[in-house]
Amino acid sequence: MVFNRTSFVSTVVAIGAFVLMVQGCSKPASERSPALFTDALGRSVIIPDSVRRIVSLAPSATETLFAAGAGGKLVGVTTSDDYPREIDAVPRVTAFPAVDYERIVSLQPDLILTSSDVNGPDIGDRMSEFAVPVFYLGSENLENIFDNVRVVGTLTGTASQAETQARLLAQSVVQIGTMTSSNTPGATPKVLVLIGIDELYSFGHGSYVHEMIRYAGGRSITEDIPMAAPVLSEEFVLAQQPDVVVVAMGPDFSMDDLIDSHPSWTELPAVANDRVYSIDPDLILRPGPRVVDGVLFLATWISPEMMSGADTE
Amino acid sequence: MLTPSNPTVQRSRILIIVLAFVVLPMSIIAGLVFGQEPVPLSDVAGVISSKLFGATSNVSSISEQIVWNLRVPRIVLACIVGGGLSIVGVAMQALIRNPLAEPYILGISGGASAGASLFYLGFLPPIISSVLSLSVAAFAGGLLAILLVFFVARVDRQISVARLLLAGVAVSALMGAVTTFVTMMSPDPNKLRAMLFWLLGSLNGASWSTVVVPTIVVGLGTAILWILSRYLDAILLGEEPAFNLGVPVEEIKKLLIVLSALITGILVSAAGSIGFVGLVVPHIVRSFFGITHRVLIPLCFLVGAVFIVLADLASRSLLEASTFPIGVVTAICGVPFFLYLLRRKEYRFG
Repeated sequence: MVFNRTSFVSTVVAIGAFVLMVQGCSKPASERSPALFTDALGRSVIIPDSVRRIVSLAPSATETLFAAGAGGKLVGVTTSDDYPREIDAVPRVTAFPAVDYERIVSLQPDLILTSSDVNGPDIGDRMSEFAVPVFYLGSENLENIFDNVRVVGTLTGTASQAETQARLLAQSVVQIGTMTSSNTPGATPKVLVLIGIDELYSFGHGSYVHEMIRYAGGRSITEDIPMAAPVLSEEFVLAQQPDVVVVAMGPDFSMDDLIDSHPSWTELPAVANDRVYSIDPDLILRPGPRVVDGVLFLATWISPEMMSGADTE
Repeated sequence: MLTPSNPTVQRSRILIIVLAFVVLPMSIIAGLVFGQEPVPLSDVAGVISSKLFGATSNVSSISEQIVWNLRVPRIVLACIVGGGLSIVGVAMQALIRNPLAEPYILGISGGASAGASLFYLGFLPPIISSVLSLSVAAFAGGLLAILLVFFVARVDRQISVARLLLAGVAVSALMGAVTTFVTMMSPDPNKLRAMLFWLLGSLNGASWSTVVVPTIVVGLGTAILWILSRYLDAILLGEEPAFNLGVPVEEIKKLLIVLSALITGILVSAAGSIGFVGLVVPHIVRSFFGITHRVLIPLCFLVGAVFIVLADLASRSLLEASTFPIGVVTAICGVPFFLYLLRRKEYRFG
């Protein structure tokens, strides 16, 4: 087996370096002529040559901006934003459930960044009356999420820094994938990711979350469900017999609550073998640069041999 | 029949003037001044006078955009929604000769929401433009719902009130189930959040381009109803007496059904389903000024407009840095009224 501790450590170091860079300040904008860009909704958006005031309407867009080295240009973030620390001083805008357009207009942005996952598709039309371009970021797959960093860098004039970051993010995930794929000669662990435990919300077909699980060395049991946001039946989970259950509830998760809600699950391999974990939801639900941290956590749970691999072989 | 010299008509004329020229303008000014972002009264005045009368103003462009492109269209839509829903209430109450009829209670709003969500979430093909198609889908859903309710409630050419209300509950539940189902099955989960808020009613989407169609439809609908005032008065006496008076009862009833579904559909596609307006407003107006439709219709339009302008103001300014659906406000005001009407021994006008 080709595995060693050094590569794991180097990944962690790379991610650590990335986090430091994310929190570093942005470089001066290189000028660019106004140009037409196509966003995730297929809209053609004219972006002015120098973008100076950005409002982000999704936490994932905020994090992507910082990764692209343009976080310093933010003049507004949503009330749900909590990362990175630099945004503490940035004015807040209510984005859910209704967008506070009055606040946005008063912040005088020259670009609004949104996410096609959390923001309604009507914001672009709405803001066109105010001649403010609205650019939607998508989350088709991990490549798309990392490419967003590159795109945002181009929009905001930090292209070269963003290019480096985007490449680093993609490489980190591939590196984790290489490590986890080699240590599972037998069956790939079956993984269930849940967003809640009362109602079994999960991810269906087409979500990047299944890709995160694949890079972490597992196979998601919900990847073939045709609905995008299915509510699973208890029976489906029992029939699938997941080896690992990951709940995106952070510190709010309690194993007792899970068993209270689903007493029949005590027989599941994941529960019987004590392989139920709770992940910080922001590392998995936000289609931004920190999905790399999410993959890393998933890998340590789904492929724990990776941690001890260097010792045993 | 009331004659023009009747003191009630005199009184209502004065009230129409007071409402149109004092209460409604004051509500509108309140709506323009208060909001999520503070804009001083002098700025509001400057923007309005420069836009309407071409006066030069030195108001900042931010204030100008907030007032002229966000608040004004929102208030225009509020007037249209409030007036339109009240008028639909009047039309339906004349149709079944009972003050309990209301588009939300009888499932028309639910049907319109179901139609709109089927289109919005991509289950129906677009025709013409997307804005118009959404309205057409909402209209079709509303029409289907009202026809279904009437089909069930009608026994031997008589509308049974108990059957009508129960059919309304059942059809509302069915339409709600359709909406929930298509929402859950949507191939595009990105629109779900937008959907949810919209289904509970909101004027947040109002812009100059979205208020045009509702304004035209509600304006025409109100004018048609007003022209038909005498026929509506006659129908309240009973269908047979009305028929004997030469009123084309069947044609009027069909027109009222289509008009109610059309206005409700257009308003639901513009602002979501907002309940109980059509119940509360006509009831209050009738209790003061009787049932003559010639004064009832303009008064209901004005009172409805004031009600929704103020309800919208409450929904967007009561909570710090957040808004809640306007349907919450109208339900809190409307449900006690509905229960009170139900509790009365007889369901009668007045």
